[in-house]
Amino acid sequence: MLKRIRGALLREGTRTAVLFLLVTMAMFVLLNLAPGDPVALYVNVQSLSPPEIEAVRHELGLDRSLPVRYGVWLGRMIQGDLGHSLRSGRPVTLELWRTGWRTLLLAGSAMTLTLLFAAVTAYLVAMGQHPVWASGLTALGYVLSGLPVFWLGYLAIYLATTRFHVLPLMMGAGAPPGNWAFFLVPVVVLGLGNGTVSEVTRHLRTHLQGVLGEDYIRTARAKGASLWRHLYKDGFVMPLSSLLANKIPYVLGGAIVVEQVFNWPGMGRLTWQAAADRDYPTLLGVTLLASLIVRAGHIVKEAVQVAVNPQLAD
Amino acid sequence: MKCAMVAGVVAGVLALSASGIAGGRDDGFPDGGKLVYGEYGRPATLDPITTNDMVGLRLTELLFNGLVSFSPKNEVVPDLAEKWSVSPDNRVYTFTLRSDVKWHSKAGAGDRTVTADDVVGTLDVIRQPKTLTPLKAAYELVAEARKLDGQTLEITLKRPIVNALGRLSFKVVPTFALKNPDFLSRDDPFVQNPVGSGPFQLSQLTDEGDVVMEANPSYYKGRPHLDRVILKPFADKNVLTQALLFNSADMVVEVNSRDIAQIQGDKRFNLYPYNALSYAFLGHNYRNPHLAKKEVRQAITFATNRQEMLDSFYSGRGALISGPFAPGSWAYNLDVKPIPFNPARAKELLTQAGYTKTGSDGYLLTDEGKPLQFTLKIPIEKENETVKRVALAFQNYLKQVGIKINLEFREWQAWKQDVFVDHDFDIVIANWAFDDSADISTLFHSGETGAWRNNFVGYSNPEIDGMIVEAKTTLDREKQRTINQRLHALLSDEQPYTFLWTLTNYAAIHKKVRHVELHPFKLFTFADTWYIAKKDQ
Amino acid sequence: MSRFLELALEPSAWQRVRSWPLHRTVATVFGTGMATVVVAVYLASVLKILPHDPDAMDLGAVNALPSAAHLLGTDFVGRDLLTRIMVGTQAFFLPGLLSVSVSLLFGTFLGILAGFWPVRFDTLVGLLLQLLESLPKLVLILLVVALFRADIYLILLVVGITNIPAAAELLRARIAVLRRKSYIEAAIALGLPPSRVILKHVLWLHGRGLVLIQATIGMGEAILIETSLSYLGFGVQEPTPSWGNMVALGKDYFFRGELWLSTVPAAAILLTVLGFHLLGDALLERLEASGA
Repeated sequence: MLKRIRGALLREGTRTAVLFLLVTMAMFVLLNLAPGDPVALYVNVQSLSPPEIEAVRHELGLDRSLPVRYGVWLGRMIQGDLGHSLRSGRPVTLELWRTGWRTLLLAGSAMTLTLLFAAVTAYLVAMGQHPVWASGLTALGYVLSGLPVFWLGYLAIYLATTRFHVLPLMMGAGAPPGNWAFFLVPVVVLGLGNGTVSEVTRHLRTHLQGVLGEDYIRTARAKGASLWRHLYKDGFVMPLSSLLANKIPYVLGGAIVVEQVFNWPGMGRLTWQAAADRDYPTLLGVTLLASLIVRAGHIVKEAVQVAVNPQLAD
Repeated sequence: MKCAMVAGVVAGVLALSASGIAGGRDDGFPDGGKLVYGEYGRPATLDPITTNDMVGLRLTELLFNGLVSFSPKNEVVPDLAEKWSVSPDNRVYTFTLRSDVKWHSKAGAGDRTVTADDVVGTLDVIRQPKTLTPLKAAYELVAEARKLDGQTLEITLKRPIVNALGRLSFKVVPTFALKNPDFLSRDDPFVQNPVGSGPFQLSQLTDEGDVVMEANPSYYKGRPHLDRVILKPFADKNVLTQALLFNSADMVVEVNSRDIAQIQGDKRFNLYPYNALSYAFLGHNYRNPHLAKKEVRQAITFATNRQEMLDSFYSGRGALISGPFAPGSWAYNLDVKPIPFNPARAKELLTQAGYTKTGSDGYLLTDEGKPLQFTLKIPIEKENETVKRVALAFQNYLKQVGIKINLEFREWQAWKQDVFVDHDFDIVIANWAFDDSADISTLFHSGETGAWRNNFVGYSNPEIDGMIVEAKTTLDREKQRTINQRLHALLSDEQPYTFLWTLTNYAAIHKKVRHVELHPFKLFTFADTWYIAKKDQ
Repeated sequence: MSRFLELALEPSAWQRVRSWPLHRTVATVFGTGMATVVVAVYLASVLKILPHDPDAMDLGAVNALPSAAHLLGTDFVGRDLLTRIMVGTQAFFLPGLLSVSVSLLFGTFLGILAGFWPVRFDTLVGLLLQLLESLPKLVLILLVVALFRADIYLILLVVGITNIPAAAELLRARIAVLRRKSYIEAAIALGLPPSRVILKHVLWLHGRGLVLIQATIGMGEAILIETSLSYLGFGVQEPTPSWGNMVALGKDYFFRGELWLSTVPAAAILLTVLGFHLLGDALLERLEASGA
């Protein structure tokens, strides 16, 4: 048993390492192909002569060849040093830490909301007991999935400012107490507006209906036994865990927009700025973190599914 | 130059007696209150040497001092230097520093004051090759900086220039607080945690990117009235305006032109116009054989109704310009009027230039039988709604005279590459911002047409070259003005650019903040005198 | 009318449709209706059957509300909104189809590889798919736009490529279920050639529902992602109209209470995406019900 776990860990570990390598290499190559030089972050390029610009590039280590630069980055990365942001000069690990937990908080809460909404709707539809609520929620889910997320954000702010005369932004320093409640607004916007709600609902509903139709459930129902215990494994946990893993990239993508609208200083904003600046240490760091999150999502999903359904571990 | 010296001494004495000893100000205004100001975008770094964006520039006004500063009328006044003198050859400037300017209390043990070592050290750091700073080009004119004694130093310029004092307004940093006292690179914690001598000191840089600054109790002009000033960066201009309107910010540095009317009507705020010395223009690439013809460029300007665009898109807040200088500057020739809107004349000019045939789609045809068309390259930006309006309107105007304009949007860095390096464009829409030297040599001198040089339109005219050089090197202000005025008239005729307009920017500040005076583009130069009445705090 | 239909269709098919629950009928009708409208508008715009010239500006009547002259009002330089909404279909129709085709083509291919020969291909394919999934979509698009140009086909091609994992995973999971039910083993044991098993049984019978749903979701996503990109500045560029860049343009007037400019294209997006989703879901339901 222990040997199996060790084997699995080794396997997953290697896969993860290879993934990281490929992902960062791909991003690095793309970054360097695109025109534009981070030199412009530092100096007013138009006031320097070409040899002076070259001197700056040399100072930044940007004149070395591509494989060399990647190799240097990789070497440092293995030791835990992700370099310094070309823009702010701060260590990339610090920047990721500072912004990463914020985005995880936002995206995590948003995703929880999506799954919650979908689960409730799917359950109601599958059980067929409250048709009005079921239809209403389903319709709402469909409508929300068809609206652009930044427009929803603007709508939320507009409603808050005109109806309640308050700007629903979480202000930092000097904010009045109770300000944290405004955090819920971007969570709701991202959670319900990331475009996946109707798909997730449908997926869950299909699964639930399928499971409900299974013989062993019908038997349990006929016997009058509690459905939940039987239902939750196949009906909820299985599809939820795979949905979770698959929808992470969508929520992270939506976070880039929501963070800008709600002035949430998260990884999404950092990523966008870094891409525009060609701040490659930051961008590589972000890519690494994003792939880590995606990979973690998949591993968790597999672990959960094996735990629930041991026969899947072939 | 002697006048400047006397004036400097007199001003210095007056300033000394007016401020008294560092401590509370005795102007009768209360201390207290906080000011939250919103900006679009965040500063990359917070120190005055590495900072390369306007947000950072404005921030450093609050935290640092220079040898000299400026009055609200943009005249040079003493700051760290209480008096100065110039050598007869106008190359050596000797400064005597005040002895009572303390570094912010974070600088280290004891109350260290600003000394000549610090000033010389700052200049050396700026000029060190390992320091990557946009200031390098501006201070390349310094040959040497030398400390004479504790509070006296001497700066030698490579050659005499007009208004050297104004140019020597760099902010002074405590080089002893740098990781490496010889140069400053971005991985030095100083750039995110700077120490200065200015009216406010950095208290905290929050995780959200808010920069919290507190009053410096030992500021040499007296403790500023405001307790705290907080910079809040925003990623969305519309949300920024809403923040102002809903009490999440007290001040917005630059109000969107579309929101100005609304804020003007809002009794809670004052609008402060300021005119950064800048103007917008359409640059024509001389490497395109059609644009190389003067008639074509003039026709383009005649065909474009700039006044209508200014009125429609900017509510008329600004003024059309006729030449290459910023209109607020001393070099602008008010006698030269902007080319009027006259599409008929534009068509005449185009016929004169040889474009007589019209194609089936309504556009003029070149000799090869192809439609006369130009590509207008525009950088992609998140908040460029007015630029888009201008571009679309421009496209429309030129359609009326038979020229086809294709709009091409390029990612920002790719755009810069196209325009400054590859010169792969026909027309661009852009802005120039000036300091008050009115030096247009880099824009139009034929020697500045290479990669990354500012004369990206490729303008080349030996007569203009000569005049530009003369204007730059002469020390006679009057002669400079005459030459510049002639330059203005000539370039207005040549139209290497279709000169568009200069815009009035507005800062919106809550009325609770009083005694507000703004510097045209640094804004916060006089923030130490602002106050908030007790009842509004 | 119903007699005509009854004669035209096989009795069993008609009865099947009649037996549908109400919501599915509504959904199918709405979805089909919307899809038809969109296609019709698209064709009209391609054939230039438009009320106005989409580029004709009227600086005297900017941000106008609906009037006789402009049925849906005008935008920030006075261009007719209705016309631009119609022409806006061109910004997602073919590019969206491209995006969806790419993701489905490669997605099903990889899904089949991983599903049928998990021992050989699962690791490799899984890695490739996770690679595609990990690359931040919007950043990729920014770099592609910087490298080449802001072209909607290019952008949606990138989106299609990043959607391959979703399609592949769906198919792979379905094949895994079929395997669990020994469906595939049975088919092969019966002597059917593997290629036939793949094409007919897996793809056509069981996979078409998934492919269909992915197609409808993909089209919807194409529109929505272009809108997010437009907010960031990078979507379809002026003067070409797209619903995304119209909503983004309208945002600058939103807080002033001039909601019209951005809500009209947002409504168009909603109706179209809704239509696609409903149609896809309804069809999927039908296929699933018939034992798919």
